[in-house]
Amino acid sequence: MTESKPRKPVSSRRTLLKSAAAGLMLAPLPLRRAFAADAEVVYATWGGSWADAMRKAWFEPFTAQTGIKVRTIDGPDYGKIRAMVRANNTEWDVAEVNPDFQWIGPKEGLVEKLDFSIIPTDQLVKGPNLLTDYSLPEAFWSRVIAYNTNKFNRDNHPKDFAGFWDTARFPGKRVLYSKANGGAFEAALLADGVTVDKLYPLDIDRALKKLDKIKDDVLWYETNAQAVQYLQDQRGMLGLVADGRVKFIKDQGAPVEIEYAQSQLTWTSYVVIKGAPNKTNAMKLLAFMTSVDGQKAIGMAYTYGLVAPKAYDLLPPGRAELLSNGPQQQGKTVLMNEKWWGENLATAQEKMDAWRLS
Amino acid sequence: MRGEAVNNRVGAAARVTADPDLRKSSVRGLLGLPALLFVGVFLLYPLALLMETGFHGNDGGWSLDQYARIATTPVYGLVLWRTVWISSLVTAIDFLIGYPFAVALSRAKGWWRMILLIAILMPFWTNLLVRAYGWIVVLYPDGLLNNLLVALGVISEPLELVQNTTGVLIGMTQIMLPYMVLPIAAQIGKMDQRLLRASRSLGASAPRTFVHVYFPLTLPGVFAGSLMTLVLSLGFFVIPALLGGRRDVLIAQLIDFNLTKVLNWEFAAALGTVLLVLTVGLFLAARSWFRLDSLWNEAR
Amino acid sequence: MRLSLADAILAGFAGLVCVFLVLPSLIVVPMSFNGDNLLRFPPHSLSVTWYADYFALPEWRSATWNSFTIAIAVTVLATTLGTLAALGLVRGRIPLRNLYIFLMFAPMIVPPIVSAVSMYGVFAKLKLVGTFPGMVLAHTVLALPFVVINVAAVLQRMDWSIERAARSLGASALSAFLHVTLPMIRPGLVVAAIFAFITSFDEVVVALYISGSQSVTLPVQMWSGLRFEINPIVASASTLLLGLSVLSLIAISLLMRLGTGSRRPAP
Repeated sequence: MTESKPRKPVSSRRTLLKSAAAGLMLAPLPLRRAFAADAEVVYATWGGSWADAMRKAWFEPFTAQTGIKVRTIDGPDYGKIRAMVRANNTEWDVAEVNPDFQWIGPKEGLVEKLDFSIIPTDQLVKGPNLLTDYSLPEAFWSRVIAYNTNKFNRDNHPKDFAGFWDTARFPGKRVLYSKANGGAFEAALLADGVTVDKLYPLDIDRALKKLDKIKDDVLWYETNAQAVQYLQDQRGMLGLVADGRVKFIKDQGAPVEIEYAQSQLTWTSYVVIKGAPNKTNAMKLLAFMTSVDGQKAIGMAYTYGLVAPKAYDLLPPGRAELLSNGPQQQGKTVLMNEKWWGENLATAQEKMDAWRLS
Repeated sequence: MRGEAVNNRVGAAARVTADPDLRKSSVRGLLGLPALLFVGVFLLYPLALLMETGFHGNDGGWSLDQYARIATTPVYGLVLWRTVWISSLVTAIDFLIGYPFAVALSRAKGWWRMILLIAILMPFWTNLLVRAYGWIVVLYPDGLLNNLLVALGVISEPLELVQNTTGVLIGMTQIMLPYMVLPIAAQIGKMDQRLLRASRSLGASAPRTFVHVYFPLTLPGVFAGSLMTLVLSLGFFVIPALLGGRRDVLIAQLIDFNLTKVLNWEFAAALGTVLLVLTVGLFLAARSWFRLDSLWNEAR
Repeated sequence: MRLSLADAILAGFAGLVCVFLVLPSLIVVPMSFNGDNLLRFPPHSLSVTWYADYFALPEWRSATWNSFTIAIAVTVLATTLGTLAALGLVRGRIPLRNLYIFLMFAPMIVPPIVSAVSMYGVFAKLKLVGTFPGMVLAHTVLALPFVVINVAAVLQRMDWSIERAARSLGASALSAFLHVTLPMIRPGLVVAAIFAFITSFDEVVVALYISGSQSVTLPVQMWSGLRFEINPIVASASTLLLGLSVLSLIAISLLMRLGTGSRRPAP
């Protein structure tokens, strides 16, 4: 998905020796079916440093408070969700998903209705499409214009997408996400002068015509890791990339800086899978994570945007500016219409693939 | 094929006339049953269930809508064509590189042989994604290869070797090379050296011996290697996605998209069936072109 | 055979190909020693933290163990079934021969994601998801075509007269097969076994679906470690595997050399 914190080495020499000894003594872990002896919730996550942060901010406190363990698995793949539900073999309770699943999920009968008697929602941010009967918003993040600081600088860099498209004034390769809902269409339309309120439904043909203008200068990326690699290696001079990832490499010393104007705001969501083995526990976990205290905790552990506005007030000074959709971004964001994407992804991608082959 | 003819005569000399084995041919055919049952239960049956949905419309009833969509939307034909084109290129290049390498491998001795063996098997031991990232690092405009070529004075400007079709070809060729080399090498290892000597002693020059004796004897291996390479390439999409450019969209990517992103399994099933039919078509065409029915038939 | 100009050119060419084959794998080795959290070449600082992490973290250890044990089981099962099938094809009469071949090759032809998605339903019904037997069965299916192709290729060029000679001297069919044919097709068998092992060990898509939520295999672990963000442990895991493979290849090479003696007919 989006970003990661610096990955700290896990072991000191002492831990290494201890775990080596333990490893030798432990029988190898065989594959075996789960015996849910303890109360638990199975959580499908994108993993990495985000999962580490969730563990610290949410899962461990949740277990301490309720005695319910949270077991994570890596990789919430939609295809697997569908396969599980169709086979009546739902292995997961909660999955973090992209917002398009808020519509795809119910349409395919893959998600449980949320129990709002367990999950309070007043503290959640209000906004179009953020909350549905089947999903809760998890965290905000945005795609931002990143520019190379060796070639450009604070005064001289694209200040919006029109600038992003100006290859004469700002030469160099641009890094864009190859998925249709990766922001390239919105960027193209905004660059072409479409106002934000008229952005959706997207005029894809117009966007593709605009993309034609820079197509020889684009580096397409499949994963966020690739995107920042290009920026870091200075293959790409400009990019439309997830804000967390850019901040990460910037902290590591890469010559990049962020322009927040017209940043594309979007979010991730939680769903409870149909047939979840621990449905009630899952609802309790969701309530915990989206509570104001829970949001404050994750705000301290990671840099995604919070979904409970009051939690921002609980943060120490200076922290809020580090988060997505924080004060530094207010008034500069364009909210993605994920409902439109949930319904139109297939056709949009088809058009994009056709364009790519042309 | 002359090689086969020579082989037959040599074999005939030692053959016993009352051959008990020939009579049991059909019983021996039963040896193939366990494997078939295995594949049948664990893959073919599930596959059939999925493929069958390709004949449903999006609302569930029987229809050819999915196929109509494939036929009438140009992008799918383009993608299929591109997939076949790239896969064929990869197979051809791998044959050109792999055949001499297999010959070298079979003639190598001692530590040199060990080095070649390690080299051909090393790609297998490195995870696919890791190799992809490795290639990106090597092929960058200011990566290892370009820096080397510039330093040697071979080129003055870095070459664009990645994020385009060249990168895809380089990556896929490397990944598929062992699949091409190993069957050929195994075939060479089985070769009856007497046939080569016989050919030379009958007055044929080395190149002629190669063309008429050596190469034909290796054909089953060539076919096996080419088959694996071509078929596997058709199903690839990780390498093209990471190393490719704007135009490098392959069919497996589209199938994956429909299966795991928009959950249109009916359409994915139809795409998969089309790919399957295409692959079988290529296989049959290659077989009759190379006239290699003999791969499956006994050499009598 | 005398060393000739042709041999020298061939060897030179093979050397270049070697570089081509090993370059991306080897380049990961220095990157695995990079001290900070990114994949850099050349590395900015040297450290072995990522190796320490690999051994320390239980998920990497168990993933490695799972991958090895599954792959070994798959190799045994697939090589056996596949060799039988190859024998049936080359030496026996199979009705609807072309259909049989097509069906046996399906696992190789079908894109892995399609196999994974379709297999899941049936495996779930059979309660095989997330189990060791389930993974072995799934991977064996994928490995079978590779075994059949390679064993059939060497069987096809077999000189059966020798086996027949053994039979006429009184050996049973099984004995003749085990003691005469099998040693003669050893190169093909070894290649087939290698393919079977690798098909399982390196397989990620079907494993993602069938291995279930309890534990994973190494490729799956690496997949998460490269897809969403780059986890440098992947580089060290990769290097360790590389080292292991080189060592085992040397061992296999020596073993094969010991058994080479009577493969080629005497001049």
